[in-house]
Amino acid sequence: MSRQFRSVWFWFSALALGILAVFLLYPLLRVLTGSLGSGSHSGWALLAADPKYFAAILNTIVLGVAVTLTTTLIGVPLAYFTARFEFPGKSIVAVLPLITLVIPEVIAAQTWLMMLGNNGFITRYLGARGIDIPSFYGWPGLITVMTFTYYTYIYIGTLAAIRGFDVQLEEAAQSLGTSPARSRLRVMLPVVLPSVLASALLVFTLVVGNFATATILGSRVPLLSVLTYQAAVAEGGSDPVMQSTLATVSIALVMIVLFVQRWIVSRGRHEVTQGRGARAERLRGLPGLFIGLLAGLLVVVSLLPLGSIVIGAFTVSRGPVMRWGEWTTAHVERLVRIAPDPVLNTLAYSAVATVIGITFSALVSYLIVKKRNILTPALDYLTALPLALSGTIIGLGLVMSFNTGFLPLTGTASIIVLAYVVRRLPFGIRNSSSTLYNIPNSIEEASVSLGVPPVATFFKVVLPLMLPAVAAAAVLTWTTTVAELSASIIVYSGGRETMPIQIYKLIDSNLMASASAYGLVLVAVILIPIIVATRVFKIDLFSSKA
Amino acid sequence: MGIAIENLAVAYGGQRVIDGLELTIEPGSFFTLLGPSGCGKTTLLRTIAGFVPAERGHLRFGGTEVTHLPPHKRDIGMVFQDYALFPDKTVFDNVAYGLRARKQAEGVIKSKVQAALERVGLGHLGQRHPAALSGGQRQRVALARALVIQPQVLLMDEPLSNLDAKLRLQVRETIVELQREAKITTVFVTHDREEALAMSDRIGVMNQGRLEQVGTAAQIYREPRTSYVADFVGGANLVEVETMARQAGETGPVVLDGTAIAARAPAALAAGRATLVARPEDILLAEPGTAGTLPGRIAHRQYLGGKTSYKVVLDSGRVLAVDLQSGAHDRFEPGAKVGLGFDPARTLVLAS
Ligand SMILES: Nc1ncnc2c1ncn2[C@@H]1O[C@H](COP(=O)(O)OP(=O)(O)O)[C@@H](O)[C@H]1O
Ligand SMILES: [Mg+2]
Repeated sequence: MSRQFRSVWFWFSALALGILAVFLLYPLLRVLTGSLGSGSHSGWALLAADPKYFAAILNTIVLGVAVTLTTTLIGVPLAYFTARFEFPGKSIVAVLPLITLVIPEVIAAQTWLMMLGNNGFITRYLGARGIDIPSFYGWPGLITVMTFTYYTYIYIGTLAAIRGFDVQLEEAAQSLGTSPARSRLRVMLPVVLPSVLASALLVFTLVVGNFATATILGSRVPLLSVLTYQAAVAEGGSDPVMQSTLATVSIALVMIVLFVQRWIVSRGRHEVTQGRGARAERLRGLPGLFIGLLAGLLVVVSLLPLGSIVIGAFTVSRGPVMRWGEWTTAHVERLVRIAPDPVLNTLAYSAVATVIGITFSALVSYLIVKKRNILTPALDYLTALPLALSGTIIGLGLVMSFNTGFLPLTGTASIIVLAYVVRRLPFGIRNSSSTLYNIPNSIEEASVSLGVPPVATFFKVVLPLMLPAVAAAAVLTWTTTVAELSASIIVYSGGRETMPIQIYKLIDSNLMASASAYGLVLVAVILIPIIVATRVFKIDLFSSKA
Repeated sequence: MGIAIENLAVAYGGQRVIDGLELTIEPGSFFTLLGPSGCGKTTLLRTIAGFVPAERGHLRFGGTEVTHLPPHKRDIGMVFQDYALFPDKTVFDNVAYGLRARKQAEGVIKSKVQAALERVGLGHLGQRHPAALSGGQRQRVALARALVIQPQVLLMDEPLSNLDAKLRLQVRETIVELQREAKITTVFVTHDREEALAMSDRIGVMNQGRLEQVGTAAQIYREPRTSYVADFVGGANLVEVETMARQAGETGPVVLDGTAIAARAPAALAAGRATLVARPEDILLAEPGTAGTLPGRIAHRQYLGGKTSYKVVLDSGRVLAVDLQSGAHDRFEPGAKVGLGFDPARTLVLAS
């Protein structure tokens, strides 16, 4: 024990733990305790008194279940056919993991509105021909957009499980006399099921935490995340009772689901066999064509937002009215000449957050993986905590903690950067740790035995080996923080709008063309680093998938 | 520079792995820690290196106390089972790493590294990356990297066990040659008795964190002090016998299945049960009924070229292994009755 205190790594761990306690644990506790209110002014009493809140909880759960089901229905068959069959156009399916990364949610919601909203070009086109489609606002829009936002999570999770599945098990079952179809079902299902369930539950938690789509499309359907945001805007950091109560409810909801998920994953672990990869069967004729068409359709629909954003950015508009078919560059010009601030803000905040986040993650995961001491289990748990917290809740916690008091950050850019860093923390840690687990301890010991002290060894030997993974993590952190909305919209102050915040405000004012112009820049800001990283630097972004 | 270990205890989180270990390693000698997996060899080696802290006791390099010195200040060279080369650095940079840490001039480094690489037969591969080398080449690079800094002590943890049989022999020879030449005090860890016997000046046989016996290869092979050492160091027949009290070095009769045979006791013995140690090559086969032999029957015969191996079943059902030079004695067919003779000078009796 005394030896531990003498080690420099122990003090690094203590420092990291202190930072996490101030910027993560304390804000979370503020949120949880805030719900108790002061005296008789308890959030729980208010919650019980107003049926609106009960409806919001119910709606959130119903939406979560509905989207979990639809995404599973799309993601699992897609993964199965991609893993086990060759069909025309299969290669295009490979771009799917990129799509969720490249299209920010706020843009997805916006572009679906531009297609199917009251003023959307599909709505207008059909309306002109006497076909009235039901309003896209509310349940239809929520479920559609969230389905196309989240089905790739199920697809990726299931695909990995099927690929890791040992075909020999299946062949063994066949050799024992079961028919191919049945043996596949009997043997593969139990092995793949835990992964499917785990990704399905992940989708559920993402739906519960979703803010962008929920607030843009859900005006008629009260949802927890939106009510929390509205309470936060109304209450601010001074008397934050209702926002804390609603946030606590969604934390509880997500926690329960995450515990179930952990349990499933831990039960399923022994079944993840490193087997011989499956050989893909060729699907010929009609079945092949059918599957190919379906998969292609899916990819096209998933990519629709990208096309729409380009169209929207260059379409003539008079206020909220879009003149489809008439083109202009006015919106983009206006953005560049008159209002480039949101772009510059986004670039600056994300750049700083990426540097801080990546450095902190690399150091902390090094402590967790390589320099275990009595503090590192706490580090391990704390860094995973933001997985259970939606952006809205992280934003709330930061505002409540740093509005006034010992560290007044509200009104500064640092609170936005902080929100970005906290949100991305679990992903950065996971990314770095998976690389560190692959670096044998003997390499460090070799360096130390050659006379290089431990800390210098980290910089001379370990860091260079982590570099490719760190670069991939940096790109992923960048792409997700530039698109961040739910936390930053709570913590930002006037003049510090980022692109997603600006887009959200423009959508709120029904100015789709201007919103599209920012959307276009945002997509470029995301795509260019990805292209440069993968094409020029040959970084494999998904090798240690965050 | 010699190594002295006094009353050493090492524990992992409260669980003692080494307790009260004493060992002295002569300056410039090749010392091997031999023992089965899990007996604590790696732990002892890493304690000498400083990666595992000693809970109690003293460790001295050439009279200087190093027990609490951090590993990077101990001036050691280490060779690992998995080579532990820096994958992002060239062979040259790997070998130069320790010299650069010692802030030597680039020109000096260049000539030293080149000489070290040539010494292990890899002078032409300096610009390669480790991934482009075979296992044997990688371990040679690791050896060059450890030796080029001219450490006080060279530590090797099963450096040959990831290599296939042929390479293992080649790298083994390189290690021995370099060690003899540089006269660096070396501690070598292995579970392979042949490796230990072939390479070492002295061998320490480990069992559950203790040193059972320390001696030259001939001593631990010919004069095992305990039945554990006899068993681990080489396929001896171990048979339970009755003995009377014995002084160290005394030769006398022991009773095996009712027959008395002569055996030497290297250490003092109490009367009662004891273990007879007879190596297969030290047992003779004679015509059945020859005086002083134990009756048995050939159960199995295997021709191995230079020697022939027999399995002989005694009347009690015990099976003994016997090796004979091929040729002269091939008349012993499976099923034939034989008499087993024991050479009293080479047959040992040890406490069970
Ligand atoms: N890091 C560790 N933590 C806890 N126990 C360990 C650790 N390393 C080794 N041990 C235990 O110490 C004993 C000796 O291990 P080791 O020195 O690796 O043996 P060997 O090298 O002879 O195979 C074993 O019982 C092993 O399980
Ligand atoms: Mg070992």
